[in-house]
Amino acid sequence: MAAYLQQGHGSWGLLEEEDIGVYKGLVLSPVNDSPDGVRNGLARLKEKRKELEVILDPQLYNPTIDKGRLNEWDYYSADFETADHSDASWWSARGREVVDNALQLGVDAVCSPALFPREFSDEYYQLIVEVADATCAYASKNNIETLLTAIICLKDLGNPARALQIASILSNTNCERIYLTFLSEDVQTREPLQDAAALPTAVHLVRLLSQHLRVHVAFCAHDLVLWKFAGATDISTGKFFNLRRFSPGRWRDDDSTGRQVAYWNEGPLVTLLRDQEVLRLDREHWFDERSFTSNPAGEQILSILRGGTGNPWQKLSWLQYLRWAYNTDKLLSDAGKAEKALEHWDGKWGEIRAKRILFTDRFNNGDHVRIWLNAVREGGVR
Amino acid sequence: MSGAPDLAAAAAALCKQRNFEFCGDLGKGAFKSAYLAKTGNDAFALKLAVVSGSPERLIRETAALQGCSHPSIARVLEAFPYQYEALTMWVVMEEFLDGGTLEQHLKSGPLSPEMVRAIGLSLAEVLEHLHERRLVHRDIKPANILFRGGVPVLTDFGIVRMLDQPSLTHAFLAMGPGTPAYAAPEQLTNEKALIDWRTDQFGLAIVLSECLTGHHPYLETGRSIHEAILALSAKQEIPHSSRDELVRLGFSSLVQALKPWPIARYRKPAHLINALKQT
Repeated sequence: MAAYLQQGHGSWGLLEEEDIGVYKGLVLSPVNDSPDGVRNGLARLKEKRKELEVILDPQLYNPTIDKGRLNEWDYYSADFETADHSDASWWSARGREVVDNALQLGVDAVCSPALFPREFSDEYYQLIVEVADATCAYASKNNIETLLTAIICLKDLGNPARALQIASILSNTNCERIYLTFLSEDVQTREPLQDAAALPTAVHLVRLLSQHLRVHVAFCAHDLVLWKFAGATDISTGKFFNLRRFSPGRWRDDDSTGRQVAYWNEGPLVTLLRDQEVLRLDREHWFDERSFTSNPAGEQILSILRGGTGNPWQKLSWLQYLRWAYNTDKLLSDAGKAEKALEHWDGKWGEIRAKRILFTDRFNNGDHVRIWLNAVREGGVR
Repeated sequence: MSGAPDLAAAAAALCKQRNFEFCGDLGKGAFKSAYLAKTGNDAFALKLAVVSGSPERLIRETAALQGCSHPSIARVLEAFPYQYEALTMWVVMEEFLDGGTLEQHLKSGPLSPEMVRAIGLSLAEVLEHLHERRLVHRDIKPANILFRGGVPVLTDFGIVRMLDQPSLTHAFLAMGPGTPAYAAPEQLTNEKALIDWRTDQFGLAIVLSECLTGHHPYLETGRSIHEAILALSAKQEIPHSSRDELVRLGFSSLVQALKPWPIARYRKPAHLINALKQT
């Protein structure tokens, strides 16, 4: 069981911060970093964290919309925008180039290249397995591990049998690890996943795959609890968690500098809060009995907010969230603990309702916790 | 296609053309048949099947099969397209196996668990051999398992795939018209993306169950074979009675191999082989 840092814009310093916990590895982001940038970043990081596992995710999901620095990478071929993206041999060639790039960088593993399809059909999943297997055949000769990349559209999971179909196709891979990303096109920035019909099937899918493969759920936010319940071995998350929703919107976002407002990560409510909401809870003595020893950034943020100095606390907010993710990954070592955690968090939302507190964002009302609890109960017994 | 083609005449003409001795029938179907032929003293099986489209895929598959070398895979001597009058056929010349079919052996009743385990292990190794070459047989059934001495040998690779109606073999017809008794659910529902070596695993598990118990594992009291196959295609689990019988006989491995969804079966041939070795 391990947490990985999903690299984003300007994320290189984070793993050197003591307060984020001991992340097992990181997933590189070629959209945000050039090969030279990655090489330099890794050289510095590896001096301090020799045991760190580094995974190269080529991020060829949707580069026609926002390719960032992808075209500085060798595997981003000149014919990318004109190629036939249904051609497995074309993708397999990209897979070999990704491995070549990985070798140059000295990373441990690659995610197989995968596209963002128009339709999440069986043929799509067959294609990505074929590409992953071709990548794996080449990578294993070079002592590099391959994770089969699969994007799963939540909208496609309305039918419960879909978990069995997709898992059957994906488990035909020769790879022993799988890198799953759940796509939710309807969810806006910072909103939790709330698709009550799809989430039980998503939980079931991860459960099925986890019985055969080492499952890594990427681009997680608070929903990591669902995947831990389902048996995922690894999760990755990053400071861009509030842009984490793997949606077309993410790629259309013009703010390439990664500027974002600081949010307080409220673990017991599994949500993000604005500064005034934190102060409101503080007035209700919400934090009076809280120990911050396992997540020191929280105490520092609270001190800043209580002081009313207006000092910036964005970096602290990243650390607070990332430490929560690390702690939670470690704590939820089995399905029972994950379900109990959800029950506890549902109870905490009950306390918020009893206090008649309403948060600014309408979606921030605790409904997601109840939906998640149902998802694990339903998806856990299918 | 109207009416059954005269495959025997086609085979005889081919033998004459290639200077083989035509020695009679080995097995007949509507659109494919097998004949015994000789060249000198060497007997071989001559298999003819009517082709409805381009034989390109068959040529590729035959080439892949000729790359296989396993004692439990019938040796393909030669394969080629053949035009007989208006019919395009695919011809496979295969080693002649004189130990009879498993179907014939089963006519005298169920086999001992030891014998079933030995057959199962040989054929599971074949599936492993094929999987390494990304080949799927898709038609594992007692009529396609022959014997060389005491060794079970899988035959009839790729033949079924070239037919318009792949399930209409005489083995199926014996159980009811068009009832594909040895097919996996994903074959019956035509979920092509789900077909891989685990499809053959399911077919093999049906065959082995039948060898042990004398009946199809989806059959239970009061259920016809047609109803059993409908239940299978609806991806229902095998009846409790079959499950209990297989467990009692020391073959709980077959219960997993008979799971309706491929994800629930053994993921790799080596896992199946290991499970079959356990009593």
